[in-house]
Amino acid sequence: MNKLLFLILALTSTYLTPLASKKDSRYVDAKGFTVINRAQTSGDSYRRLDTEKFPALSPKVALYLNFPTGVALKFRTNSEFINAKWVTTDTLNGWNRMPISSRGLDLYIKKGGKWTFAGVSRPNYTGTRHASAIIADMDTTMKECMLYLPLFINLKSLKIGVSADSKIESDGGFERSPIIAIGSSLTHGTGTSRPGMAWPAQLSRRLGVNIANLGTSGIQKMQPFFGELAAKLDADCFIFDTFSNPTAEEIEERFIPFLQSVRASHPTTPLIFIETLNREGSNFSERIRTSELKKKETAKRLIEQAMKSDSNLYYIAPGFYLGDDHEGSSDGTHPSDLGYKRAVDNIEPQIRAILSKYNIKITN
Amino acid sequence: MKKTLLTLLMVLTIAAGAMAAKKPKFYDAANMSIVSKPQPGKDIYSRVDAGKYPQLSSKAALYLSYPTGIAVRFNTNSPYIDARWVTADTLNHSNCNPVAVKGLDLYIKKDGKWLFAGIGKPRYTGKKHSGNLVSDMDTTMKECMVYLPTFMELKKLEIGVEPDARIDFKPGFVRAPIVAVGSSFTHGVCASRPGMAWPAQLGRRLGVDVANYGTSGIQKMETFYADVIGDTDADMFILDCFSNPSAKEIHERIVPFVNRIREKHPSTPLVFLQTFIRETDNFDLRKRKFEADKRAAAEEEMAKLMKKDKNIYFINPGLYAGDDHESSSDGVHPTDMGYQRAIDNMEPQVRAIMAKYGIKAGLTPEQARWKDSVGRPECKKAQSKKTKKK
Repeated sequence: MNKLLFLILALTSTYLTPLASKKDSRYVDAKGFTVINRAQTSGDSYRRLDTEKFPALSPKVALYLNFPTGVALKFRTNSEFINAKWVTTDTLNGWNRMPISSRGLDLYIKKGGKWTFAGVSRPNYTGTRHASAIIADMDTTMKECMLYLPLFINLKSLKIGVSADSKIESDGGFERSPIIAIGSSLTHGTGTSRPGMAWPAQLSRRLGVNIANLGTSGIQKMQPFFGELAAKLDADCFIFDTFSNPTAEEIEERFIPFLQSVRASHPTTPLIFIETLNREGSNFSERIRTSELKKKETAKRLIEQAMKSDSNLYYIAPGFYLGDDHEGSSDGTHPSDLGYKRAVDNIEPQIRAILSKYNIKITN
Repeated sequence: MKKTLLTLLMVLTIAAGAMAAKKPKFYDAANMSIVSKPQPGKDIYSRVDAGKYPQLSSKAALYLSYPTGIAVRFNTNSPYIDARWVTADTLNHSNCNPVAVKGLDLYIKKDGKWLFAGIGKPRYTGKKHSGNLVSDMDTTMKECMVYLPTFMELKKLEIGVEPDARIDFKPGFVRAPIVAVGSSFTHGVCASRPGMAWPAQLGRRLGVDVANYGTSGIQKMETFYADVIGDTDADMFILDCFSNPSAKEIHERIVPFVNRIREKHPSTPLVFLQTFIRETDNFDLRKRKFEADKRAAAEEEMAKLMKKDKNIYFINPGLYAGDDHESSSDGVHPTDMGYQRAIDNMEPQVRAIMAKYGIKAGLTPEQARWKDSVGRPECKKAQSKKTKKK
């Protein structure tokens, strides 16, 4: 990995914007900052995957995988405030998505060795150019910062604003992600309040290990190109949320070929499949309840069968467990932060146990 | 693959045919029971009637014209519930889920408790919305409650059911025994849907209607709020009044504010909530001090007031969001996670005060919570292993 430390100098003119409060600020381009939680260790840091290397992907999957979902940038600064100016593509919004989560930025700062929530940048409700304060009035010790990028839009450019007389630096390069999560909207983070609350990000902070997020909302149906994609990626462990989008019939048809396609290039890598959630939309809808139950039964039967001849295959069920008060859903399908937190509470100890079995290094 | 597509196509065709054959019949919700509306009035979907309080600031008047916290009730045996609704023009927020701002949130009673059933999806922009809230239900008679949008004027609402289905409703307002007053925290900013604002959550837990006077960002104990509260008939007020004002404003305003309320409600229990600890305080030293000063001012003033007035209470910590620093959506407002923690914290204390005044909760704590397998037999019990937080 490129260990070259590059210090970013004040190149841009100083601003006095309403964002930056009283102090003069300068903006530095975040391109070149250390990239974490990405599935590949080279390429465009504002995209989670260099999709052109995977021509078989469907256009919608390629569109989604060009989003910076899950990716975070690491830098250090002693600035007392942090602002951001960023440019996204045109609005692509959802009635069940919080704009901060789909188009905003989410900053964590290390405190006492632990990543602690610091602040978010608020995007414009519509439009492509956004500017926002993230945090202000901090002490001026040097701090380690981690900025999660938007979940649901293309990121064109990003500049970080700090005080004119402060230092901001980053090691640059890419940190490898030992774990890659592949999944549906649940993995993508639909229903979360901000980018750092998607489950791979939450789990990554809890375990202290980088996790790449390849969740693609609504379209993860174990199509052959997803199997080929996983086969071409490098990871010590894959976590699959592949039983949320397909029907029971699709699971029946596709699971085994999908598994074989991943196994073709990862013969002994631990593959952890997660059972889908109980949709709160099924509290009264018999149709949803029946079809979801059928999906779960099919998945369980097939994977338990496959586990008999593959000792590196795991199934966490219940997986995305939302608790039993039926209040963990934002829209009847997707959890809110409350539901995602409960899901992570449920899967964390089991994933921790599997990682430890394979000596996959975690720091927490 | 081909077979699947064909089957899918057939199912879709049949479904489309079934839908075309049976257009829902729509009923105006204005004729239904209106619950958790803090005052009766001519503006059914407003918390207070337009023009009733000329002294209100224009923003407070606008916010109080929203149907925040209000719900409509009806009974039906229809297998599905649709809705058509018209809101004011778009007023949106980067930190709000559109469903919470201008959507609908349906709960249905099951085994005596309100259980989430579905939401009404609003359009991202525009005023006219329509959609299905739940479908494919059994056709037993069910009690339904639809929470209205939290951050948008509602002009019209119609509930659609199967044309042959029975739907029963009684027009009129149902008095809410508890009325919550407060800031954006009470208003429900950052809740994922209308039913997740804390007064609505608390109401379901207690089995008691809780009306909502939350006005985001502008609840600074101005005299006009005391006037609105004075006109409101309730057995208990829960007040989140220490979130928006500065420490200085708290010192200056709390006593005249309470005195003004006491002119109309001499002995009604007033339960004040300490404000949330904001997650921006993790690193922002100025805000951390500003917020700590506010909390100290509230503590000091409440101690004095409680000595003089036996019917004043202070829940501290009140709006408590946990200590893992993960429950905020934007550094200020909690997510559903934070709001639920706040309810977990205040519920037993609110129950104790209610008991003291003979205000009956419809559900005991045991009845109020959903247990495993209730409503969803396939729901297995999660591992009881608790994870050590790092």
